[in-house]
Amino acid sequence: MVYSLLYPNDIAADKDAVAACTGSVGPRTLYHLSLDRSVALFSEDTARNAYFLDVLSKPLTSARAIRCRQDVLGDLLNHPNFRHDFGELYDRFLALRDSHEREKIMLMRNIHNVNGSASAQLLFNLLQSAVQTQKRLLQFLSAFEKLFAEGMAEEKPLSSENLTALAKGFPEAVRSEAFEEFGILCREIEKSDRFSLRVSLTQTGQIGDVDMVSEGDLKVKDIEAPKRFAFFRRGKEEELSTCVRVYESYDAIWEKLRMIPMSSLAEIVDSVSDQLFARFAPAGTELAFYDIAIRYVEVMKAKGAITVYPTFGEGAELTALSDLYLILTHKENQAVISNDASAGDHGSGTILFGENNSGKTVYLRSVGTAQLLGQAGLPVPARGAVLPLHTRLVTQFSEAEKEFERGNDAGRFEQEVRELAAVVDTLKPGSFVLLNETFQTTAYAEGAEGLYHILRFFRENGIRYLLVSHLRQLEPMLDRGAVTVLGTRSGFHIVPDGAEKQ
Amino acid sequence: MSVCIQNTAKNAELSDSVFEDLHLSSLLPYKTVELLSRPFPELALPARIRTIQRRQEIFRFLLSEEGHRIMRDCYGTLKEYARDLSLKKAASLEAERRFLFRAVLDGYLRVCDALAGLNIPALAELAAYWKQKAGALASLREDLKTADRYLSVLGAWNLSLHKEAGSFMTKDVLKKKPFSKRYQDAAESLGMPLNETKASRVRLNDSLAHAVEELFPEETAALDALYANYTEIDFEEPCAYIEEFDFLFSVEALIRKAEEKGIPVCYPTPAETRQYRAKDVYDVTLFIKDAEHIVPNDTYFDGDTPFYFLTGANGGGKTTYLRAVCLNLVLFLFGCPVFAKEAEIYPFLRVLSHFPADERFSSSGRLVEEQARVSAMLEKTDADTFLVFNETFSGTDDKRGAELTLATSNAIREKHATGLFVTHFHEVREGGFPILNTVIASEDGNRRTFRVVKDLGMNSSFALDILKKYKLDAASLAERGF
Repeated sequence: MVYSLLYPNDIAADKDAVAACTGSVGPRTLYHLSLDRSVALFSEDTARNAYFLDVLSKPLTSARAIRCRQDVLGDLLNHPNFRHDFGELYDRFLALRDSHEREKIMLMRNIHNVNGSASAQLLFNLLQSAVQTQKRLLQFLSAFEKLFAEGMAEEKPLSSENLTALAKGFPEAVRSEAFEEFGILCREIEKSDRFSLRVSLTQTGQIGDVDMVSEGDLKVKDIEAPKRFAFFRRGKEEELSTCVRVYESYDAIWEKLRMIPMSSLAEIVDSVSDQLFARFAPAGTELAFYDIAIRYVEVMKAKGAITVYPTFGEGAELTALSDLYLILTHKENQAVISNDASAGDHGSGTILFGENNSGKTVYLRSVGTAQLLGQAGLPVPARGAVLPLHTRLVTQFSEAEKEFERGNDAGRFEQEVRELAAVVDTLKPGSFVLLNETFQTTAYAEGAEGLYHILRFFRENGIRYLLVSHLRQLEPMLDRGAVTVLGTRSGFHIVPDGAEKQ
Repeated sequence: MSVCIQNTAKNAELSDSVFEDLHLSSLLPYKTVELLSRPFPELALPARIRTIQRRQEIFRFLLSEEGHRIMRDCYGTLKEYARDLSLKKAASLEAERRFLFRAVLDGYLRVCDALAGLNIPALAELAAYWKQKAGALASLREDLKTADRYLSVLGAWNLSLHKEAGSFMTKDVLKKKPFSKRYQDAAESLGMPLNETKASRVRLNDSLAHAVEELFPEETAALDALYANYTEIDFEEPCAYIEEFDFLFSVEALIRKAEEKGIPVCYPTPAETRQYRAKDVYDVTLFIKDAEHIVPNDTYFDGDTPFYFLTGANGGGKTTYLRAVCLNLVLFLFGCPVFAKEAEIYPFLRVLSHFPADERFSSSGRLVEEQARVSAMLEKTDADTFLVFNETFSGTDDKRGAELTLATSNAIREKHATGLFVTHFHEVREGGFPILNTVIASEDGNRRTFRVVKDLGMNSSFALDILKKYKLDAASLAERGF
């Protein structure tokens, strides 16, 4: 069982299942949509920002998985104190995990005696270190249990699937007999500088298994006497058993006899810690996403921007959609114009013609941004939103000539064609392509002809597209029943084509 | 008591050169080739025939599904036993030997049972012998259980390590679970299985071994007393079979390989009169060259025509034919199946061969060396000898070479031996010996068919075709323009 905050717990441990509900974006899509700039505007934590953007680049394709995230975000927004303590505790927990990883490397080197310096004493120290790490790990789990108990005891307790699973998971671990036994073992090993080795010989008379055993009540009596006895307590009685002194000669076997059980026990202790970390640590790492998401929500609220959690259906229907970057950068006395956007099912196409500087690129950016935010489980800057679920979202923006970039000796048009070809190679039915002034780097008639066939390919293969273009030569080629054509009206309004003249 | 090899003096001879000339060491393991050179324990013909038939029966058994399984299991048991025996011999401490002796005794019993299970007429005597051995050890099975009880005590103890007081070996009286087991149990209950830790293998030293004996004196003495009943057993005896099994399996592997390529395998009938008649004989040494298609041929040696010359085109398959004849004869003499459709062969006592040797290894010149070798061969030749010659005496002029060839053949005829002489000397047709020839498809650009048939022989060796291909014919050399 792995506890996750980003994916439903029943699939989080299964890489294939996670991959099946996760899509992808093009290599420069976040850049084209200015999402990197936007995130930097509401958060200065570069490490967390990078993690957040990474999650955005893997849009969820399962409505259930998206709802899980929306619910977690809701819980964290509604329980700010819990969120603060939870984040702090997890930061320290992850630091312990990182320290554990470093210790493991040391242990592995010495178990295999990679540099020839392994010794029983060194392994004993490493064992002690592993045990201490485990003890602290157990203490953390207890602290998490207490924190979640408080969260669940509030008037409006935590309700998201993922957080309530954690609220159940911590006590399940902490209150188990196994947990108690781990604690006892840690204390016994930590305190003990004297223990017995349980030795078993193999069928060929060689030493096979060597295990460390707590010596308990076994004591050796009269060590100088000719016949020595060990006595031990069984209940209230003292019983005697013979023992024989063994003289340790300068022989590697003695070092081996100590090293073998300590290295295998250290490996076992580490393995238990590994599994505990693996079970509970992912949620801590994933918390970074919500840290930034919460910043986003707070900043949007502070800016007075309207946001809504989208629902998911066959086509797209966005009401009063605004551009995130403009919201974050606009000045107090400037209004951010919102527009509506809609699209049919997969394979539907939208072309937006319009004058320069009329808001076309902003419109395209806002549609792409809303799609990615929505599929990440976040609210989108709109009054209403119904979105389809896309498995891949790719952008192709006309860019500066890369003549002086290494390996690029083609002209701009060939560069564009090459890039678009690379994009098309990655598309499958269910993808969404956003094209900004594509093929305007050649004679427009030729560019339109070439683009027309590509758009037809998209339509025939269930790939949705939104094209911003000046290539009016496309218009007579289009099947108006299959394509939505939009235009711009002054004031950055996007309207159905023809309506701009009204 | 042997599976298939009897350890008597070597009194049948397959000369070492036969195996070199046939490249057998590239086809079969060295030990197998060595054993093939000693086929017969006895000289008398009926005994040789019986030996061959017995071994053929063993091979039939081995090549059957059930027989193969039984033999493989028996072999596995022997190998394991031999390994334990060798470990026991290498053990320097009595404590270790006590454990290993148990393994050896158990292994010996299992070996007896396995050998007693080789239930075919050819091995009936052997099986009965080992069944009787196993029967004589009826008490051993119970004694092994007793030994196990003592060994389980001797094999589990604790070492209590004290910094000040020193180290003590104690009995495991408290029976506490080791830390590792406690961790494993706890982890499993949380659904967190742990990997198995690698078992170690460390040999006891003197002080630990003595401590074990001192801590458990009764068990040690009882075990030693028990083992004393079995010290008279000849534990090495079964190990001799491993070599024999290796031989059988290596020949089996060759047979399987041939069968995969569609080459037939048969058990020749041992003939009571001198002959070697076979249909579709294959030269499987061509496997070494990864040849895809091997052309079979017949053999024609009998009482009326025991000796042939083989002539024909270069690259026509003469040496291949000679190897096919010789290799299958060697396999037959050992009772192995041969690579042919059917065959009837006399169990010759001697197989001698002469293939050209590198001149640089001889100090006296090629012809003199060849003459010496051939003389030595003729010294040993009698009616029970099979001889093969591959272009012997080709290191001299035509006339002299042909004379020597015919002289050798006449000597062979006088001794009533059987054999085959590959030669380019077409003059040998004057000697009145029967000739075999390689077949050329002259209507198909002189394509070599690799078939060998009885023929009068043709006067051309078709060497010119080969010279043209490599531009060493007269016209090509003229164009080179040096």
